[in-house]
Amino acid sequence: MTTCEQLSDRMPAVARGQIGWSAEEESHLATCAECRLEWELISAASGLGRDLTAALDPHHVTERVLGRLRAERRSRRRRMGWAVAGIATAAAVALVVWAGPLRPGPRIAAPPPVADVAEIPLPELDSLATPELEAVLHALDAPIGTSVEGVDSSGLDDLDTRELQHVLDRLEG
Amino acid sequence: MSPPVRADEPSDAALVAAYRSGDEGAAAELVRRHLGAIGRFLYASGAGRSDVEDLVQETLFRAFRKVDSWRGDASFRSWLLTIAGNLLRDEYRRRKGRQMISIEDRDLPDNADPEADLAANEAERRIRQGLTTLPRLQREVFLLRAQEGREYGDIATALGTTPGAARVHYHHAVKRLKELLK
Repeated sequence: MTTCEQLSDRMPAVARGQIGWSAEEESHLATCAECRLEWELISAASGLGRDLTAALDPHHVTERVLGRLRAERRSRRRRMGWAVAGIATAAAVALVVWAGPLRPGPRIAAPPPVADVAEIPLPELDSLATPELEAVLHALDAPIGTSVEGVDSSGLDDLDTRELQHVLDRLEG
Repeated sequence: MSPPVRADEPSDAALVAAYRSGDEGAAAELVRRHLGAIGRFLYASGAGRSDVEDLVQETLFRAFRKVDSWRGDASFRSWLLTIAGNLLRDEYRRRKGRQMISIEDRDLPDNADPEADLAANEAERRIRQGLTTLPRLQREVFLLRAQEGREYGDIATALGTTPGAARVHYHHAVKRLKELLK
């Protein structure tokens, strides 16, 4: 027994020409208004636009579609190339900034000689002979109150002002 | 109707694999097989006659561009038709909801049987108009089933629903469209 549901299930395949109606199905269609209406709907829907698409040229459509895909691939490769170049440039700039400018590194200045810093002009010492200078240096280094070699100061207490001046004059040249 | 695929011809899956490997001839064969189905689907879904060719090209362009996303769960054709449906929705939004079917889109009768042709074309026009008023899922289930003869399982996979739900959508669509033909 053919039911409306069985017929409904077979309609798309019959409309596409894949199968045909059996005698029983045809007889059901002849007597069932709802199935006839549905068959009218399915057969019309199945053929919608068939004349239109028959006119489409597969070769032309393929060329257009593949042409667009090729163009898009080329464009993507170009963009990729620019992106890579941009990244490389940015990396190079970053490297230069990170590593400093391309020149010898800064020298650490040597500390100036102590003598340069401690230089005190004493023109009075310029005229002294080396032994006298050594005696003066020795006297500077010696504890206060001790005698200085080359200068006999043991009797200075007994000298008057004129004699002391004379000794100083000798020391200063 | 699309050209039939002979038993000795490569399957859609084999052609897709060949295209992924760089064989553009495989793409040409896929276009030949599915061009008509995409065009009929778009036209039945409300695309104007003059827009069909451009929309078919755009559908195929989008499909080949993201062909890696086709995993073979649904048939390649059903997958293509869902892309066509998305494209049509985008186009509809771009035109801010303006109806895409225009008066000149009505088929002109040929001279063989003018009265029968006129009646057939009137039925076709009403069906197309009716299809555009259906919810999208109902319309796409109906067209995948009525135009392409797809099984509910394949339709469900392509549209992201269940076979049972696809069957219900189909029967709702048939019921509403039958009302328009009475």
